[in-house]
Amino acid sequence: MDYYILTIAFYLSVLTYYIGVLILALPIPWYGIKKWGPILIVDGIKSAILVFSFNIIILSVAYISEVIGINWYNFNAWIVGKISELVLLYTFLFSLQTVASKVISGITGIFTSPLLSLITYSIILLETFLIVGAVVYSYCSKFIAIGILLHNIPFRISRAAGSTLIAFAIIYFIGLPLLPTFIETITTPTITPKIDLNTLKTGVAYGTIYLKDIIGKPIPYAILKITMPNDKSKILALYISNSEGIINALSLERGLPADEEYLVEVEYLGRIIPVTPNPINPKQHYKHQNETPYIKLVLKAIDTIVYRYISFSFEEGTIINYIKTNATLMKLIIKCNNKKYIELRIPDEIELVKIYDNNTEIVPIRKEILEWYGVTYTYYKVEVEEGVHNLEFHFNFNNFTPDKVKPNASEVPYLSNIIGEDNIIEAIHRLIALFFFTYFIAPLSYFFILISVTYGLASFIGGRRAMRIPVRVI
Amino acid sequence: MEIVDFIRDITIKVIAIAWMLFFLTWVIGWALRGSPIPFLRVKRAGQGLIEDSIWAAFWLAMGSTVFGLVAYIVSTVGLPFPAPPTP
Repeated sequence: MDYYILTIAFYLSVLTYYIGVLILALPIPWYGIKKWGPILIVDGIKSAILVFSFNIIILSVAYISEVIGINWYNFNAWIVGKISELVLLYTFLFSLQTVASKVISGITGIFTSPLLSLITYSIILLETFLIVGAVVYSYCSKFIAIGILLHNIPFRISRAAGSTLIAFAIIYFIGLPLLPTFIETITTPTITPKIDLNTLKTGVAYGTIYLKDIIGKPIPYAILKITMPNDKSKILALYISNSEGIINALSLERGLPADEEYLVEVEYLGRIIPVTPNPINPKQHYKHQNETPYIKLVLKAIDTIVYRYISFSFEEGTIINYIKTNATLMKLIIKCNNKKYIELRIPDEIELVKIYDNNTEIVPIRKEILEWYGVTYTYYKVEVEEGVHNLEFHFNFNNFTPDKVKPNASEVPYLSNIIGEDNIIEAIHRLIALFFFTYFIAPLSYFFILISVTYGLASFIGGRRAMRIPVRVI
Repeated sequence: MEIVDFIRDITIKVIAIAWMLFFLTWVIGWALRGSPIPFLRVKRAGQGLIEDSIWAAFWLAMGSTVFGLVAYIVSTVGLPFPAPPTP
C-alpha cells in the first residue's frame, strides 16, 4: 500500500516538473505566470527526492528510536498503569462522596465534584495519548507515504499539510514514547504523596461496631485492629471501644473498609479474643437507614464472657449451661468432657475473694500480675475436672473505677491512615492537584512541545520559501 | 493503477504540449526579435521568449535524465545503516 501511494507521489512529482517546463515554454511575457515555471521544476525534483527518500526516512526513524532506546511496550504499560491508578482514586473519591455525604453532615459533593472532574480530564487525556500512540505506532510509514503524496501535488496545494503529516509521524514516533521519562523527570523533585494507592482499593464506609461476649454483653475498652487478609502486619485501623463496647466510626477521618474483606483482632486485657464473623465482608453488613448506606457490625466473642470488666475465657469443649450474676458474684454451671482450664483476667483494684466449685473452695493453679497498654491486671488460671461444675466467683469491687481499664493506646483512624494525613480534605486536594499536574498538565505540555517540534520539522520539509532554479524569466 | 495511469496520461499530454509551445515560443521570440519595429522593449521581450523556450527545451530533454539521476543518487545514499551502538 505504501509503495502504491509512493508511485502516485512519484508520478505527481514528474507531472509537477513538466507543468513547470510547460509554463516556462509559454509564449506569454507575463512574469506572474512565468515565475511558476522554475518554481515547479524545482518542486518536481525535490518531490522526487522525497519519494526516493522514503526508505531513508523510515530507516532513520527506526535508527534514532533504537539509539535513544524507545520502547513502545513500556510507554503503553506506563499509561495503562497510570490510568488504573487514576480510576482507583476516582472510585475511592466517588464512594467517599456518596457514603460520607449521607452519613456525616457537612460533607457534600461540593468538595469532591470538582476533584472528580479533574481526575476525569486526566484519564481522558491519558486515554487520548494511548490512542495517538497506537495510531502513530501502527501507521507511521503510511502517514509518511501519504504526507509525501500530499506534498507532491502540483502547485503546492497541499504541501503544508503533507509536510506536517510527515513531521507528525516522525516526531511522534520518536518523541511520544519518551513521555514517561519526561514526566518522571519533571515530577521527581516535587513532593510525592506518602499514600500507597493500593490501599485505596479497600474504599471507605461509615458505621458502628458492637463488641459482644458470648452472652451478648458488651466488651468495654477493647482494642480492635483491622488488618488486610493477605498482610496481617499492615494495620488499616485501630479503634478502642467505649464503656458500652461500641466503636463509632462516623467521623470523616475514621470510617471502615468498604469494598474488600478484612480481618479483625479484638484484644482485651492482653488476650486476643476470637470473634465471629472474621474475616468480614463489609457488603454483608450494610444497613439502610433513610436510604443511607451504613455499616452495623456485631462482633461476637466465641469463648469469652466479660462480667464487670473481668474477662473469663473458656477452653474449647467447655459447655456453659447457666450463668447468673449480681453485683459481686458470678455463678456458672459448666460441663466438661475432660480436664479444662478457665482463664480470668481481673483489672487492678478488683479483688478475687473466693472461688467455689460445687460448694468447695478452690484456688487457682496460677496467678500472675501483668500489664496491657498501661492497664495492670491479674491473670488467674483455674483448673476444672471432667463433669458438671457449679462454679461461684466472688469479687470485691470496692476501690474499682472503670476508667483505669481503658488501654493507653492511640487510635489509628481508618481514612487518615490510608490517606496518610490527619487533615483529610487538605490531603485529598493536594493529592489530586499533584495527580492533575502529573497526568494532565505535564503530558499536555509535552504534547505542545511535540507540536512545536513538528511545526519546525514541517517547515524544514516543506520549505518556508519557494526555491527557484537560476533561470531568468521575463 | 488507474490513478497512476491517469497522471501518466496527463504528463504525456503536458510533455507534448510543452514541446509544441517551445517551438511556438521560439518562433514568436525570433519573430519579435527580427521584426522591423524600432521598439527596444518588444525586441527585448522577443529575446526573453527565445531564452525561456531554449531553457524549457533543455529541461524537457533532461526530464528523464533528471529523475533517473535523482533515483540513482538517493537510492545509493539510502543504503542500510550500520547497527546502532548498544549500551
